[in-house]
Amino acid sequence: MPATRSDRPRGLLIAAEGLDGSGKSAGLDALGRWLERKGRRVHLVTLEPSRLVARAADGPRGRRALTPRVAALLAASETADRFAADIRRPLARGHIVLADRYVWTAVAREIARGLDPAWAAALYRFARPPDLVLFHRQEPAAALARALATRPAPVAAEAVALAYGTFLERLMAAYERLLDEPGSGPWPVRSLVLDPRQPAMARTEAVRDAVRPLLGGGRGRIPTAVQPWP
Amino acid sequence: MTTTIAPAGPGAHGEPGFLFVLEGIDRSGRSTHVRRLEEHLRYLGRGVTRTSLASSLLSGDLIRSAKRDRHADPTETALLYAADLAERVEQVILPSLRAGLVVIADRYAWTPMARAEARGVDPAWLAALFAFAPAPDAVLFLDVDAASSARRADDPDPYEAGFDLELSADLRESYRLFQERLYACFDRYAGSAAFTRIPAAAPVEQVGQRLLRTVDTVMAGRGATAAPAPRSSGRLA
Repeated sequence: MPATRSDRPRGLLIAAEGLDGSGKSAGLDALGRWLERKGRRVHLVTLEPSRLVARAADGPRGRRALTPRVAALLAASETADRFAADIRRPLARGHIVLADRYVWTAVAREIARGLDPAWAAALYRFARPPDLVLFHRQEPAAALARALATRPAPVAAEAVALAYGTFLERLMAAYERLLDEPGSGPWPVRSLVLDPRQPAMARTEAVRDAVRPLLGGGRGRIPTAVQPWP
Repeated sequence: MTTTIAPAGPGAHGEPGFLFVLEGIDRSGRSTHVRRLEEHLRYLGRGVTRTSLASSLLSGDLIRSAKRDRHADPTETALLYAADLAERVEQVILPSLRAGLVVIADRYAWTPMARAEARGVDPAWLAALFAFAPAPDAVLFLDVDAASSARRADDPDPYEAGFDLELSADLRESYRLFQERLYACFDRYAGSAAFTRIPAAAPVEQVGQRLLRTVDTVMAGRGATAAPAPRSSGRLA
């Protein structure tokens, strides 16, 4: 890792979390442009679905072995590899990384799939804690309506909607617990709750107000740009 | 031919079977003693299942390629080892324990934990990660120090030598230094996880006897007859 120069700004990791259609991506876009206007280098990373899990689910033998715990561990190993490259390096250079879904979503998904919440949270403790979580509190019903509108449901649409609706509710319950009980997540984090029903302008202002103090007065002199990973 | 085996009370894992784990640094004689233990148990009429690291369907190949990659992230590798163990727990170990079989695990969670810890991964995180693994009836720790292990290693594998850590340009010296790190980890786990230490620098026969005695004692302690009735007394008409 290159030595941190004293005139280098501090790297920042900001994560947007929440269900589909909550305005996460548009919000990060706006935030990224604002930060770039302030002269900062900005990287956007997204939490991709696991290729290893998809490949394993491809054959009948793999599908049988792919229990929730095995799937969670395979996905986490892939995420660890990606985070090492896409997040750790830019942060070490003092850049800003905006994550379109990060560890809260990964943990909430594993909890919604039935894994023990404490174990699911501990699993992701390898990841760097974000400096700020922007939690977009989208209602499960609204997320479901949007999913059905954007992805036309095939046969048995009601059954799919019912199962997916239940999953979204469990996901939301897991998010809310991460938000309300700081000890239930991998690490305590600073968070800002955003309501998708608020006007976009109001949300943009709230986000800027929360981010501004993290930027430090111009070129911050932080001796270590990034916490070393475990 | 039928062999009658008295049912045992459940172990710490809550199942009627038995789980014996052999752990130790590389070249501590694990493979030899796993084989001998299996023969001993089969001779007594026990059903035995063997399982070893990286033998899972979904993670085995991924682990083998991570071991060849000198730049593999140790956190990623630890997670792959956990996926490997989780699959074997669900597909092999738990079903065998439920069926009352004896499972012999040639290494378990502690070898991947030590390998990751020796590469700088947080030990508290590793312990939490592997907490899903069922508690063994005994962990038989083949206690051989790094110097003895190095004497047995004529041509060490770069991964076993921790060559990625650049401890030494000399492969054999790197092997000794890396095994020393692993030993320090095992030495600590031995206390926290109540390993049974088996001094394994002794002649193989002596080590084997000590190991089999430990297994017999543990099985008798759970109310299982260590040596069930001989096969000739089977009830086949």
